[in-house]
Amino acid sequence: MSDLIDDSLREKINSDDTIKVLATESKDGILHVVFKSSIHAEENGKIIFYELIESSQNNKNLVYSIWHDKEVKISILTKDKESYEISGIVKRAIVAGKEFEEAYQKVIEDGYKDLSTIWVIEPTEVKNTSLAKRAKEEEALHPVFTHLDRIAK
Amino acid sequence: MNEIDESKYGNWRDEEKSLKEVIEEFPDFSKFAILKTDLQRRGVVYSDAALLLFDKKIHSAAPSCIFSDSNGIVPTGLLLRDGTSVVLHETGENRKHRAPYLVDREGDHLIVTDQGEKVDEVFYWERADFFDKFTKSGKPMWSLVSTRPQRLDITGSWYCHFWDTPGCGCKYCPIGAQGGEKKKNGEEVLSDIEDIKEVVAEALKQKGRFTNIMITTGSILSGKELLDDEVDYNIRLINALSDLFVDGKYPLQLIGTAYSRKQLERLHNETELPAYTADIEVLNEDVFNKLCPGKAKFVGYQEWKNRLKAAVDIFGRGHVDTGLVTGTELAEGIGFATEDEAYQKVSEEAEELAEAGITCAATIWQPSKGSILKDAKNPSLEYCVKISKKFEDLRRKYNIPVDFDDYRRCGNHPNTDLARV
Repeated sequence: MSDLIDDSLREKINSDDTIKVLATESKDGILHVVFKSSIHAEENGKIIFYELIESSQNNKNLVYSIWHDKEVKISILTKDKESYEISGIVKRAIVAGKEFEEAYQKVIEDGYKDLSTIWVIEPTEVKNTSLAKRAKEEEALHPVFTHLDRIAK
Repeated sequence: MNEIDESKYGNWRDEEKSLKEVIEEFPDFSKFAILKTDLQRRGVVYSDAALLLFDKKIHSAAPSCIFSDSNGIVPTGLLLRDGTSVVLHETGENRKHRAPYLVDREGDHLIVTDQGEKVDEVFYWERADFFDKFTKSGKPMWSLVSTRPQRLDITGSWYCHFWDTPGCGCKYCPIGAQGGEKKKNGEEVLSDIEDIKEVVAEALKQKGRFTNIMITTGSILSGKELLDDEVDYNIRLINALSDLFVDGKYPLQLIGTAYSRKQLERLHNETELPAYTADIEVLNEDVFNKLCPGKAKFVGYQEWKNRLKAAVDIFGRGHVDTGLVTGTELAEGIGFATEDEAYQKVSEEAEELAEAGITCAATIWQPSKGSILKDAKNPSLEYCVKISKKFEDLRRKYNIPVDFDDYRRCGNHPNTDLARV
């Protein structure tokens, strides 16, 4: 079980108001970014999402990632403007079986045409990238990174 | 079997590259496809602990497959973490030349191990919901149609009539023994089309379970023209199943004998068949003649290739391929003397087919206990991966789609598994 996703972060990831983005790399090293509203965190600490399009670039990149242990990154932005970057390794592609069929039924009921794959990501790192937090960190670590008029009398 | 007795197998590990070495040698090749290749090449056995994780109500062990005689006890396949299928027709206890892998248990997880070391996690295939049902004619549905994780497998004739002529059966194929047994016992060898339709209708109720239907058959040579009866049967079967689909069309791969242009045109014009395969099995005329004497006698190697090319004219590029029993080109006393020679010659033939729009689908030779070559030694992992990579490189070079025979619609070809990226 991953300890990186605590209850608070899980709640933020799983909220319908949170924007979720997935970044992957192709076999040619080209970055690809998609919005992925299906991203959610499970109690066991894994991150799950659904790929609806078998032939998508995202799906190809995820296949490439699991084949070659490449990292993927997920960014989330909550309604309260908190943001997190989650790095992870692709652990499994579920393409058949009861777990797949249950997700497939849900996807069809939600009005989509099909489900290709359930992807399972194991987080390896979580960073709080919220603007407020980063601004404070910069002020502390890099005090000269400022415009003079901000500190003028 | 809870441990493998390595002493039975000699020094084979010193004579060829290991799984790890081959994965390092081919960094562009999926490590899962390499593992799948080796699991099939060496075979697998299951520990008692692993079999405790096998639940007959959930997992698939139905023997209803044209190449299997497992009697419902042995798992029919495994899934790897990336969704790759590993088709296994029997367990590896009978393999003579190399130690099989051991599928074992780690907690609640199934793992594959080699010499006590964990290689990766694996998963049993799940049985279809229709398995416990019966047709109106009283037949158990599991015995009529078999399944892969996302495919329905339909067998027309369970007996191959190349075996009618002594010495004409293909030497690596167990169908002669199994189909022959059914025939001798007076069992039905030709599947009833209405029964099959009933099973497929039931199968379609399981939402999300199937993405493809495959129809294959032991060859039926009779008819006004050679193979006419086989074609007639297939047309009736394909059209019967069309009734189950909204516009009569459905993802379907027909693996038939090599039909004449006229027969291919009939299939194209009289059905909605989208994809056709005729397995040439081995890419060398001399080896083909020795391994498949019936196919050589009744059709011939060059004519088989011509018929595949004709199929591309009719069905189009990306809708025709040919299966190979990869490794039989090196069968001792029959095939090439060295792997280098086999690689070179087979590659040349494969390029000729690819140029004509035909993909080669490598199926790793698993010497099977029902076959004439049951005790033969299949080639090294390095060779199997190298030639599979060549097939995939050729497919990309000539830009031939292979959607109908990929990891999901079939799952038995390490090279077409690579088409996922």
